[in-house]
Amino acid sequence: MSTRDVKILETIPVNKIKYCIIGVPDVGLVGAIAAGYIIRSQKMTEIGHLESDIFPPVIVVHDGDLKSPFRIYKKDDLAIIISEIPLDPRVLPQTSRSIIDWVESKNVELLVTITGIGVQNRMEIEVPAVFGVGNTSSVKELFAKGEVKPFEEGFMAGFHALIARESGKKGIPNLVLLAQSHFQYPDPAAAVSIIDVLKKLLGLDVDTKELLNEAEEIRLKTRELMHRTSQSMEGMGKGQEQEIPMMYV
Amino acid sequence: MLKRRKSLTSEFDALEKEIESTFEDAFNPMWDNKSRRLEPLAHLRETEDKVIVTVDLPLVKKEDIQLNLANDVLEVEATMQRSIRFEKWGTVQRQTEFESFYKAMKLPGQLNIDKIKATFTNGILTIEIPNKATKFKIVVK
Repeated sequence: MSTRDVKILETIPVNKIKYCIIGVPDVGLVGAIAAGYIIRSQKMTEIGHLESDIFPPVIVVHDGDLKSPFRIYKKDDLAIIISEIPLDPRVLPQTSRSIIDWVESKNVELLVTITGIGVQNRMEIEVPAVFGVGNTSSVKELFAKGEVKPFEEGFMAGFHALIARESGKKGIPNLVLLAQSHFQYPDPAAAVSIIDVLKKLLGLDVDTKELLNEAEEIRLKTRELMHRTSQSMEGMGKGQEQEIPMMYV
Repeated sequence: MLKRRKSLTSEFDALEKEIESTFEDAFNPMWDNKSRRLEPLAHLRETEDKVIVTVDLPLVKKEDIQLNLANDVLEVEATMQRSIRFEKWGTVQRQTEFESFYKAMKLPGQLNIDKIKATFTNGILTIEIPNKATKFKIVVK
């Protein structure tokens, strides 16, 4: 393994995965909160983790056990890739390529990246809407089933943008779900909106009542992760997502 | 040669910046176990005519927020509806019952503090302070 490689190590080997969700700390921590809640509520099994010399020297301790902060969980035909730490913009290209190689090797039928999209009037929105970007016509056909609004024009920046690009190169169906969210404050309600869409699309049986009840405590307890994530987002050009693209080319 | 030296310098600058930021974060955590206070997430944005400060205050009621402004420093203090303990996290944090939020922010420029406006919606405190500077209309000839 070269010092710049990102390796996926399976502690429980798997041959085939139908659906794969990726949720990492990003805008409003939406993807990480939603992914973490599904893993916990579905009692999913840890099957592997990502490892690289280019990752920060961080290890998490859960119930006294040492764990990589970047792990993979599985239950039935669903796998979830989650990170507990913000991703350094410099490691994103190698990380996204390794994930896509792994996803391809598992014959994943639909790769869903979940995240937030910052909106200035978030405080006035009771139920955040979810927008979708699909890389094939069959993925776009899922919008109606999930009650997802198409994200028709705009910039996407960060990890989900690279995942979309790399999955396009390999012909892997990729759906990016973006929930209206606070940009730099944790947003559990936006995570609930994402889970509601996933329930319709993938037939997940997840009760989001507990997530809504715990929303204020989650906001309080994820302050430091949000603070650190905001710093890493500065290097990803996330601010560009708020800009209007040049449409007449 | 000069180019190489320049790139090495910038690499060292970047490394130094990263080390500084790591140590800054490690030694300035967003909690203080002595005062049992947490630091809330906050942002300050300047527009053409005002400064907008937002502060995320979960588990807080409007009547429990106290705002003070002195010498261009805005202080936000808020008592939480119930104390919070990080039962499963860290070594010091798990032993402490945190009871309130506290944040002090230095405000920029000349502001009209008589026209300060604060609202609290869905757990987010928004403070708007107009600029003092008078706007002049200039006729283009």
